[in-house]
Amino acid sequence: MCLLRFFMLSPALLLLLLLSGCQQSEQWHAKDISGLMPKLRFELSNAQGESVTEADYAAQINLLFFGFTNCPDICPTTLAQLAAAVRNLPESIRDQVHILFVSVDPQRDEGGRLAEYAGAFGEQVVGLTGTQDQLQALTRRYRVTYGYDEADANGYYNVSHSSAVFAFDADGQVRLLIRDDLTPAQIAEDMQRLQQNT
Amino acid sequence: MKKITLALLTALLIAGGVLWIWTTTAPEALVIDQARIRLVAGSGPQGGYFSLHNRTSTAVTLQSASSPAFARVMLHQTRIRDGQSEMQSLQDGVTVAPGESIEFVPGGMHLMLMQALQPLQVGDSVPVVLEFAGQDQQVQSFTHQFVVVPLTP
Repeated sequence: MCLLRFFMLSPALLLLLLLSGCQQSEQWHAKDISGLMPKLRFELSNAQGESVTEADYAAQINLLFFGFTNCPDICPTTLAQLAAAVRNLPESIRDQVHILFVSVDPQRDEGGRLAEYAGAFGEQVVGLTGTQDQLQALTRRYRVTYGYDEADANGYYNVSHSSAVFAFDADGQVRLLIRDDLTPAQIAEDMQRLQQNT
Repeated sequence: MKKITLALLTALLIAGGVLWIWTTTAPEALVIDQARIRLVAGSGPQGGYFSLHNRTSTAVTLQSASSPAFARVMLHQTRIRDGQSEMQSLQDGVTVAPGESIEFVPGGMHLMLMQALQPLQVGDSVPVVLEFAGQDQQVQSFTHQFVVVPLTP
């Protein structure tokens, strides 16, 4: 039944993708969402448990992405895609781009586990999480949601989260929505333009 | 003449019976390839992927999976709906029609391998047991070696 619903939904999704493709500025591979979302702002904790805000990641390009570490499929796929994009950048600007991986599953993703997971994708990947209040404030700000399924007999539960990747420029302004069908080379090109364009 | 017809009929029936047994039980008729586990750092779950070709004449259902290398293995599917990514358990398994193939790929269906009992390394070979049910609901298990591969090729 669920599978059926999925296939019924596909044409609508495809149409949506096509439409968003039409509005896209030719300059970018990703979708230009400049001005459509507020500036980067958050209060979260880093993997060492220290409080951090957007000020700790200022004056650099930030890619914001939501997920959780008990996610073996889509989260590592997206993180690997973004990390590969960063590796594609000229060395001179590589350390001016950070991938902010925000776990929306703080109950399981505290401390070491988050650091280990995020760090494996490269130095530019920063694992962050927060209290439910902090996470809700951030996800509401960018009009995304997350939620938890009921736990199974073993206590395992699934987490649903936004698949969006938001790119912010060095001034903290939202600029791009990166789709998962872009190649690392295309994302890297966009990052370079963003870096020159800020 | 009657004798010959009877003998021929018997032979055909036996051959048919043999063929039926072969197609319904022969393990080589279910072909699994590209079996791999993408290594994700840390103690979290790993994703397992493969292609399954059903070269039997009946539908089969992949019901469950297990591995001596992991505490638990689940059949999962990632679905992206309205920009929201969800992971769902494939509780009813996955049915493959005769002559059809299915792919477990990143961003789609995958094995969720939980709690590795020993640290994994790229190049390791990990046995995974796949349990299938045929039309007669008889369950067959096949053990297949999954190769541990890096996250990005």
